[in-house]
Amino acid sequence: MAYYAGPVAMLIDEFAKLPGIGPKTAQRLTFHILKSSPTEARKLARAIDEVKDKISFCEECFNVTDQVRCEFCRDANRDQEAICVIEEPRDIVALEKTGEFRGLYHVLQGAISPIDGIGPDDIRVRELLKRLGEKEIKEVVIATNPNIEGEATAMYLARLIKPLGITVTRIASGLPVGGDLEYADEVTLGRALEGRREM
Amino acid sequence: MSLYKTRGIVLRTHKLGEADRIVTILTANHGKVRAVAKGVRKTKSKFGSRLEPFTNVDLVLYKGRNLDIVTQAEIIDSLSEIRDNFDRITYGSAMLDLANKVSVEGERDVSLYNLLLRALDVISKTRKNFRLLLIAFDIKLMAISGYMPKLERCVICEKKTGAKMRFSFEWGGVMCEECSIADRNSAAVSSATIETFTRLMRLPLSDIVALDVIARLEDDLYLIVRDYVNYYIESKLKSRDYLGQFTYN
Repeated sequence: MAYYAGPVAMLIDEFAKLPGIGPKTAQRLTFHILKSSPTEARKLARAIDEVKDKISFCEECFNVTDQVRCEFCRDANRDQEAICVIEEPRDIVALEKTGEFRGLYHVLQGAISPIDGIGPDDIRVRELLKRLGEKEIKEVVIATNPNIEGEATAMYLARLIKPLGITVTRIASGLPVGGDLEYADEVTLGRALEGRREM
Repeated sequence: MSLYKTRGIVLRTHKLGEADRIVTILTANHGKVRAVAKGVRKTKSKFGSRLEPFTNVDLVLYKGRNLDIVTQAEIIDSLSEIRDNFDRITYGSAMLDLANKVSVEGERDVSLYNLLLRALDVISKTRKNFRLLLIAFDIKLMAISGYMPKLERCVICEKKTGAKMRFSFEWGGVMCEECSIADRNSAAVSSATIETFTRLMRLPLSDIVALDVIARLEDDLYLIVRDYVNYYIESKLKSRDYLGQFTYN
């Protein structure tokens, strides 16, 4: 039995497909749009339209971009001799917020996962090697997630890239700032100790 | 409140929502358990590395209607040496994958838990014989699951097999040439391969690391055991395709 007029039901259904949005939230969003001004509603429609039309992957680093090359690859002021390898475009934002890295990026668009049968050919490894061959890169910083898939990817890349004479580094893992030592697990705390430095 | 404690090895994890994961654990006394670990993907999660695959953990779980919820986790052995070596991760993952396929939710299987724990412990310390260890693990797992193949005599006529024999997945053992018409899908196998098969079945895993098996024999045995496993679990293991597709050094 249909409780809502066709277009309303359709919008509720579409919202409910989004991650983290259940039927109740979908209803609330739909009625919010019904109440809002036509210009506001059209703005949302246009934003969705544009993101699908204009956004593609940077042909160099596979970040999302609205041009052929992304803003980091176009920026001549960045260190052209260091590449930071990450799993997803969202990781760039996290790293950029630190302000600690001024080099280039390479988005793998995934990680090697032996248990799921995802191998190096399923992510952008070949493209990374091509970049390393074409450019004068001195350091590759591997910033994949510190979980089993990320570690497997890091280890694989290190074995592949080191013979090319390029320095391969891995971001450190250890205790989160503002946390308590007593709650740290053995693996994390062990790594924090391993990576300790002189003061 | 229905909380319960158990000990188990984390087999695999799946992302759930924004920051959660569903972890699949092979426990010592509750069989396979699937439970939600809330917020594990956050940097400051109280779980940290405790619910990563390969970890042997003591858990406190809250019995849910569908999935249980992990409330506490304490590491017994992180087996973190596995994560430091690519081959250990790939071959270890192949073991986790098979253990995941054969274990059943809520069905206690201590011998499977013990076998996996021993195999992971051995793999975490070795630098060689990864594939041989995996083969031995597969054989031992089939044996404790009730599929121990018959290797001394023909499965059908009970006679000693001659130099020419075949391995039947369906009958679960070797066949002499005369009886092999009973199973057209059987595979040709040499007596040397069967000898190695028997050795791996008898030797403890810790001794297999030191074993020296001719590459050709190991290749033959790998294929036989792989097909035997696939036949019984009635599916292919994704983690195995990967081992074949991709070897490097």
